[in-house]
Amino acid sequence: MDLEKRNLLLAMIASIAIFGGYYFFYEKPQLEIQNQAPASKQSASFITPTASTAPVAAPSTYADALSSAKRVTFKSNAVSGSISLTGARIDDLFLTHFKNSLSPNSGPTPLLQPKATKDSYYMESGWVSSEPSTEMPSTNTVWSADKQTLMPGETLTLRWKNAAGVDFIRTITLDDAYLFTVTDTIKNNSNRILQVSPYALLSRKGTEEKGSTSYALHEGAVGYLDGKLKEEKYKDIQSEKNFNYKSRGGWLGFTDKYWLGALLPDQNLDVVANFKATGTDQQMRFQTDFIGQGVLLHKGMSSSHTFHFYAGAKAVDILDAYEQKLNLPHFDLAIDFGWFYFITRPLFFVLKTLHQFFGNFALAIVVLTLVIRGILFPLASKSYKSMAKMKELGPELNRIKESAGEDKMRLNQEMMALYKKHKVNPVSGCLPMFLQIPVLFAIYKVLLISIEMRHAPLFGWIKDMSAPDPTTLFNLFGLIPWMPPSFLMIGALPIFMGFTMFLQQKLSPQPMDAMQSKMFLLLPFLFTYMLAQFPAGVVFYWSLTNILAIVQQWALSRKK
Amino acid sequence: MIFLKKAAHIMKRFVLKLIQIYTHGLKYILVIEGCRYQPTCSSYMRETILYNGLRKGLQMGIKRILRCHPWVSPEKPLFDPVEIIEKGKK
Repeated sequence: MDLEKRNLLLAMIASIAIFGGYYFFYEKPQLEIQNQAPASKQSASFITPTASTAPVAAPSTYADALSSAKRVTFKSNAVSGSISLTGARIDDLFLTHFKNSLSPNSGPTPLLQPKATKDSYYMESGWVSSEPSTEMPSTNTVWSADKQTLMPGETLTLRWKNAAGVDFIRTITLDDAYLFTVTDTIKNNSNRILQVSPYALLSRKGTEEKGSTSYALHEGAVGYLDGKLKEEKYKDIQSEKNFNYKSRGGWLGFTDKYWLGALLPDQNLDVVANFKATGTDQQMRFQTDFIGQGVLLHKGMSSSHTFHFYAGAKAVDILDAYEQKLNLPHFDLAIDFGWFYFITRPLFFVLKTLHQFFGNFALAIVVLTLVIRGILFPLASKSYKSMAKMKELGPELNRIKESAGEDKMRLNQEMMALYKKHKVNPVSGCLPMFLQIPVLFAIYKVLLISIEMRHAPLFGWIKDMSAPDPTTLFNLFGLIPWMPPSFLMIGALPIFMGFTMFLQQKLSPQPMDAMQSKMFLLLPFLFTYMLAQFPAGVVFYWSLTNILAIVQQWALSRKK
Repeated sequence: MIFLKKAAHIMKRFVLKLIQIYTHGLKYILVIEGCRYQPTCSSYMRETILYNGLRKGLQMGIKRILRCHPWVSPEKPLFDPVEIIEKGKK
């Protein structure tokens, strides 16, 4: 007993120390770094599948980077941005449906950013030649365009010709949402035989400063290659330098919590795909790319290569639609549903459908809770029934205890006989508990990763249910103008949750074990503290579960 | 081969440690009513992993949890000890 008590105390102290330590040693230094003036920019060198090109000395602000090259602008329902004619890169893209922050005058979320900026992120494609002497389009090649703006349904054609007379033509189209279709054509008008392979790459920088990396979700390179989901964190790519995979078709790219940039090669094309890191530790650049099979081009011959490029939010129905349309393997796995995919995905679907029906997430979660409790109801009612029976057997049990005295064997045997006679199971067992854990985890995961729930108001003061409750007890819910550190953020909703939990405990039978009943008293406080860091939607769900349990208990005990 | 054996051993130790953490603390947070059987699911899992190895042990332990629910006939005995599977050596 004493050992257990000690362990428990240690566990609690350790968890508080971890939260506090996390703040002081990780979060605070991070904040300080962010508050300092940004360090001076250095130009970055960059490697395509071809070879490295000369480093580009470049301006570092977004506006400067945009004006440094001629551009073709594009705009669809969901994205807007521009294509740099230098290098024919797609390197400026905003997701117009999604605000960057909760503030009302926040701009759209940037996804792709020009090469010279701090968080540069862009897509390039073209051909790799087996002979280095052949002049191929490089990152500094200036292409000519046939129009100034690209709208959905239109085709933009970019052209460039090398000194030997080889024609490079690139057509780009954009659909209503997030998908670019790029066709690279090479026409050999020179006198030599060319051997070329098509490639496309995504390159990005500044990932280490994002700081939102969580253990509960994957951020980094992702792909479905060779029949398997591949996920590599930036940290691992940095230490490993290169991961490569041979695959027929598939897809690959970079995933953020909510956003995805992905290259989708033709599904019948055999490709070699790479996740790699280049540069120094301070200036790490990450790249995902694929190279197709080589083609031999005699004089006058031409070859084309078409692939798709996805740059957008990871909305389940959009990913599913593209998966169908382009015959992609498991494109929805770009969303990190986690181990409990088989629960998380249906749960997500239910929550989303309910939200569409009610137009309100608070109501949707209420109904979801009812549904889940409904499914688990047989369990609860069964255990209440046996609890009630146990109560009836109480006097008889006491009698057995008295008569058996110290004889444990006899006590056990007689209790067993009693249970058998009255056909009652003394406890409901371990399975019910293990059934509820995945459900709770799945709800947590859904709220954490779903773009549909990002910045979604719940009710009242909770404007974003995917983030923790923004109020805190320690400034009396905003009355004192002071912002406590994150480990003291205990909002009104978590406190309410703790209260419901306390009530529920008061109503349920106390455990027989003395240690366990002490633990019981502490639980509401521990859970309040722990769940305060969770998305508000999860806390709301948990409060509702408690309330329903109370109601259920009350109803069942009345019926008796 | 030696490396593989070592890895399997570490894996086994790790799982046993997890079970220990569960029995010493987590149990009190999660379990409200307790196990139906003797020995409890957690000590059953520990013993069967010790006797029958990680793979077989995990299988048996999970099966045990799956049959530890309120619909079990009250006729069924509470005492449900670990079976030791003799298969080749050990």
